Amino acid sequence: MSCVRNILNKILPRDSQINPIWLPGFRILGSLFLLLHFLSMLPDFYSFWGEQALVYPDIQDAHTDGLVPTVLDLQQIFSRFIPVAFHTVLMLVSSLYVLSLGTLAAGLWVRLSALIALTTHLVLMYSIELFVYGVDFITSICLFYLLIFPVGEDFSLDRFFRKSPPSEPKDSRPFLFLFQAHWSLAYFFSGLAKALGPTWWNGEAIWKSLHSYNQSGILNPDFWRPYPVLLTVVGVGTLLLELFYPAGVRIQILRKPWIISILLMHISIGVLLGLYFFSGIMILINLVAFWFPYMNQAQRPSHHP
Amino acid sequence: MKRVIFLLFSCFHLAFLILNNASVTRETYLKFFNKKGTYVDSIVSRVIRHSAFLTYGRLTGLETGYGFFGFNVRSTGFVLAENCGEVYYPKFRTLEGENRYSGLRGIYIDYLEYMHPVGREKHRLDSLQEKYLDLVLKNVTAFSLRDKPLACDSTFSGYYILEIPTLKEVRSGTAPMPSLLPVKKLAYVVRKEYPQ
Repeated sequence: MSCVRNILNKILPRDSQINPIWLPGFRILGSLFLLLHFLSMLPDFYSFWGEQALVYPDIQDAHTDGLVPTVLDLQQIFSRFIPVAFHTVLMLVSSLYVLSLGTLAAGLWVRLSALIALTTHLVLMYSIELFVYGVDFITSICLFYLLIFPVGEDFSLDRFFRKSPPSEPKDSRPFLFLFQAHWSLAYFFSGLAKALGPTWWNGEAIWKSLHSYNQSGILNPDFWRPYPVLLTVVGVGTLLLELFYPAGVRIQILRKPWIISILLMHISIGVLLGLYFFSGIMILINLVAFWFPYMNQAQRPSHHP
Repeated sequence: MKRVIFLLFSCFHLAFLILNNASVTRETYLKFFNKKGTYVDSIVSRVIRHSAFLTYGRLTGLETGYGFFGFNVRSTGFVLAENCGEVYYPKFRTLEGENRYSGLRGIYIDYLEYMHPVGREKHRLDSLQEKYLDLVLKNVTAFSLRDKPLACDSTFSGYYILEIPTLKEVRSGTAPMPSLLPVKKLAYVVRKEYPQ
């Protein structure tokens, strides 16, 4: 035990210096964000998940590896016992996903809600595997951490309804260590992949990205035509910001400016490439991992000393 | 005790993340620069494709690599259908719908890789995969044409890559106009409902 404590003491501040708001903050903001993401798709819901979708469910299923059941798989399993339509199963899974995110945000049956949210998310995601992109994988990661972290201890209905007196606050450092290490490695590998190719050093990658993913962006990519040098600087800046992220967020004096730079990078991705939800969830993750835990101690929940 | 178990789990979880990402980055590097991997590469590749590894990655979200836009950014592709001179493509009501559709358009880049390999002997997609991609293309075409007043029986559908000038060409002032490079074209007969 003392060995674990020594390791944590070396890499993280003492528990009393970490604001535990990061855990309920992650739960409430994370689940509300995922709910918003799903609801934002509703006008196009049947174009992707419906029986007459852009690519029909049976054709989409042929592309999956079967590790996670799809809506069509579930319908076929249920149909062995009771005749049930594809649409009914789709509605059931989608409703469970929405409901579980709602109860997760409210802090009701937190672990069960997180488990249902993760399971239904995976079923919905692999039912449209051809249309999956970055934000879906990040959602899986967040829901997995919401399942294993003690995110229901504060600001939750579970706590409100609990009859026993509140227990001693748990040391949240092991969870914070895992969360911070995960995202530090993620940015490092992202930066490494960019650094190994030539296109991020000469600006071509940024130029191509602006033309590739700009359908929902607010600026015409040709706006950048007169500024090729600026694109090169932005490309190299992005690469360095990601590659040295683990060091930048670890050194106390650099943490805030580094996180602000990363937030600006994600805001730019959202605005210029139109990847609003991907950017939104990455901004949230950065705040939860490297901003909330170091916020003013006065904002800690009242039962903490 | 719980803390020790959690720390051990964290070490395993992070080791998984490192192995998966290091391997994916290395594979992409070898592919991008057309280099041959070592014996270690093939062992690691077999490990990360083992079903137990894949399942854990799937359930925890760790299966994804973080090299988004790394090495090289994929070109943008379009599925366009043409009927009697009118051009149709899938339309969505939400920005998120557009973004999701972008994911599908990426799989057709695979066509190019097989049909125009760089530095390797030319080979085509294996027939089953090509048939599957054709089927997806046909589905997208049908979606684009749904509820549209079609004047002709025959419809042409194609997958095109958007060719944009490089930044180097833009800098030198010799940039050509963006153009659509046809990758795959199919012709269909559309079954029309005639009034009784």
